Amino acid sequence: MEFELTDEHRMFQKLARDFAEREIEPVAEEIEREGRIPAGMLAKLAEAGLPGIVAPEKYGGLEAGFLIHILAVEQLHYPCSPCSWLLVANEFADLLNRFGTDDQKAEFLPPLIQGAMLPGWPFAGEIGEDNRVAGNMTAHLADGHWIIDGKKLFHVFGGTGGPAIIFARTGEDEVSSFLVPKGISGYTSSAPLALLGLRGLEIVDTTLNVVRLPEDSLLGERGMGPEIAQTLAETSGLRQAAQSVACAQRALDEAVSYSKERTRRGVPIAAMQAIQWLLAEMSMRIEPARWSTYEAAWLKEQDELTSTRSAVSKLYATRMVKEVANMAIQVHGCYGLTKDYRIERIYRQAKMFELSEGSRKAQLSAVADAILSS
Amino acid sequence: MEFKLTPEQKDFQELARQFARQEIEPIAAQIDEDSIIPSGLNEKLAGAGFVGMLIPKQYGGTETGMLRYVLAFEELNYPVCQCLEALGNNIVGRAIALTGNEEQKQRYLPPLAQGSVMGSYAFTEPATGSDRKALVTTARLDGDHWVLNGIKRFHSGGHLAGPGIIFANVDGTNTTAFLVDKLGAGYRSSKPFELMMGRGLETVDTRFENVRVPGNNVLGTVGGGYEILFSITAEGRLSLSSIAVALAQAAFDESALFLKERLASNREDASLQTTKHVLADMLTRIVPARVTAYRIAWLTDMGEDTRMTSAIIKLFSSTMAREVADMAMDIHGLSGLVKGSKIERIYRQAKQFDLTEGSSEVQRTIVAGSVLMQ
Repeated sequence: MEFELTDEHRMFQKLARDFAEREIEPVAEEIEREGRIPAGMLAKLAEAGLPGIVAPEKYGGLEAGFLIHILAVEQLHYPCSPCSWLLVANEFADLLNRFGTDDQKAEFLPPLIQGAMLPGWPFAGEIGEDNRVAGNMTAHLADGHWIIDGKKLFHVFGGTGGPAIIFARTGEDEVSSFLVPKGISGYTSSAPLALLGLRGLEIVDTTLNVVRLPEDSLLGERGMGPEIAQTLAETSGLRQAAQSVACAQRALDEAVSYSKERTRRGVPIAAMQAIQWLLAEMSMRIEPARWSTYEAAWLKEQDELTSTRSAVSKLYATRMVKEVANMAIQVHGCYGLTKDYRIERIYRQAKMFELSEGSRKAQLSAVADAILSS
Repeated sequence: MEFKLTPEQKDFQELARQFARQEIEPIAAQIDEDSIIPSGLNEKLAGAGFVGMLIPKQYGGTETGMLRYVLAFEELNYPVCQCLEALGNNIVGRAIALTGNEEQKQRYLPPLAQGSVMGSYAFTEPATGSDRKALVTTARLDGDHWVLNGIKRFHSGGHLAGPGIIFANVDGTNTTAFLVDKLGAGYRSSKPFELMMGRGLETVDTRFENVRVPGNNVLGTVGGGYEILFSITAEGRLSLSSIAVALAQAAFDESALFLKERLASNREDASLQTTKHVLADMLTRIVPARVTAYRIAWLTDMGEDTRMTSAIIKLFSSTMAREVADMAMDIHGLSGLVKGSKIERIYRQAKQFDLTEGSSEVQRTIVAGSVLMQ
C-alpha cells in the first residue's frame, strides 16, 4: 500500500486547482444567478487538456487514468459550481474505451477532447437499474435504420451539440444503448429545468419523435444496455463522490473563515467550543470520504471496481456532504440563509448529490442485494 | 498511489486472520464471561510475531511498521474478544524504542517482544483527564532514585508484571514519563473494574506509595513526558480505530449472515427494504473508516505527524462502530439481546471507543484546534 500522490497526480491536481481558482471561482456566483455556464468555459477547459484525461492518446487524449479524472473533478468542483460536470467527457471516453467501436471513437473522441461537443448524460435516478433504464424509450429496426421514440427526463447537456447516450427498449426483455446526435431530426429538448441548486447545469427533458439512426448507432452490442448503464453508474457515482468531497471541503473552509471573522462580545466565535465541535465533526467526515473515493477510483483503473464498491463511496460521500453543509450553515447562523454568503448556495446544492445519478434508496437496495446474494 | 496490499502484507494479514479464527474465536464468549485467558495464549501471540511488531529487530521484535500492525490488529480483534493484553507491548515497545536510551532498550525491549512481560502506560487519574497541570502523581529525586507518589486510574494491564510508562510531575508541572517495574515495593493495584464491555483485558487503579525508580528510568527527558504521551496516544488512537473497524465488520458480517438465514427460511422480514437498507448503510460507513485507518498507519510509517489525523480517524471510527453496532442490533431484533450471542457482546463493546484513549470530546477539541490553526 502506498497512499502518496504521484508527481503526475499532483501535476493534474494543481492544474485543475489553478483552473478552478482562475476561471471558475470568479464567475461562480454569476453562473448561479444567470443559470448558465459562460460560453467559453468548455473551450478553456479543453485548452487545459482536462476533457481528454481518459481518452486514448491516438485520438488526442492524455490516457492518464481514471483516478486523475477524479482528482481533477474534486479540484474543479471546489468553487461549487456546475462547471465540474463538463468533465463527464472523461466518463464518456471511458464508456467508448470499453464499449465503442473504432469508428465511434474516431468520430466522437477528438471533438470531445477539443471541447467542441458535450455528451448528453443521464441525471435521473433510474441508471444502473436493469431494464428500467430505458424508461418509455423504444427502438426498432426498419429498413436498415433504428427508429427511436420516447422521452428522456432529466437529461444533462441534452440541448448542447454532441452525442447523447440513450437507453431504449429494443425487444420484449431487451434494452440497448444508442449514441444519438443531439439535434437530429425528431430530437427536441425543453428549456433547462430550474433546480434547487447547481443552477447553470443544463438539465432538460428530451423528446425523441421517430428519430432515424443508422444501424451502427448502437453503443456496444444489442441488449447490452443494462451493462453499459451499470458501468456508467459506477463511474459517475465516483465523480459524484468527488464532487461531494469538494463541496464538503468548501463548506468546512467557509465555516472556518466565518468563525474567525464573526465575533461575539469581541471574541471570534471560533473560540467557542460549540463552534469548534462543529468544525471537528465536519473534518472527521470529509477525510474518510475522500480516501474511500480515491481508493475506488484506483480500483477502477485496475479494472476491479464493482458496482457495490462504487455505490459504497457514493452513498457515504453524498450523505456526508449534506450533513457537513448543514453543520457549516449552523456555524453561519441566520447569515447562512442570505445570498451574501457562499454557504447558502452550497447548502442548496448539497442535497442534490444523493438524489441524482442513482438515488440513495435504489443504490442501498442494490448494495444489499449484492451482499445477500454473495 | 497503490491501494493493494503487498504479498507480504497480505500474508501477514492472513496469518492474523487464521490465528483469530483458530485461537480466539472459540474462546471469545467465555473470556467475556470470566476473564480467564488460556495459559499459553500470550506465548502463541508472541510466537506468531504479533507482540513485538513495533520493536526493532535488534531487540527481538519483528519491526513490521504501523501499517502491518494495523492490518494484524484488525484481524486479531475480529472475534471481538479482549484477550489481547500482550499486544499492548507493541505500543509500549515503540515508545521505548523511539525515546528510550540504550540501556532501557536492552533491558525492556527483548522481554516485551517475547511477551514474557506485559507493558502498559498510565496518564489518567481520578481527578484529571488530560490536564497535565492537574496531575497529582509526583516524582522527586532522592539520591540516585526517583520516588513516585500518587494514583493512576483505568490503568489497563496495570496489575500485570512488566514495565509501565507512568506519567508524573516533577517540580510542579514538568510532566515526565517514568519506566516503572510494576508490582514492586509500594506499588498496589486495585481489583479490576467491572466493565460494561465484559472481561478480558482488565483495567485497574494503581497506587504509588514511595515507589523507588532508578534514576536512569526516566523515559526521554524530565519535562518531556507530554511529547511522549502525544506520540503514544496517536498510536493508541489508531489501534483503537482498527479495533473499531474490526468490531463494525463483525457486526456487519453477523447481520448479513442473520439475514441470509432468514431469507433461506423464507422469513419475510429479511426481504423488507428497510432492513436491507440498514445492512447496506452499515457497509458504506465501514469502508471509508478502514481505508482511512490504513492511510494514517502508512503516514506514521512515513514519519508524518499524525496527531490530528489520528484524532480524526479515532473520532470517526468510534462513532461509526457504535452506530453500526446499533444498526446490527436493529437487524437482529430481540434475539440480539440474548447474552452469549456475538451481537450482544459486540453491542456492549461498541461504546468503549467513544470513551477510551481520549473521549470523543477530547478528539473534537484536538481536531478543531488543528483546523483553526491551518
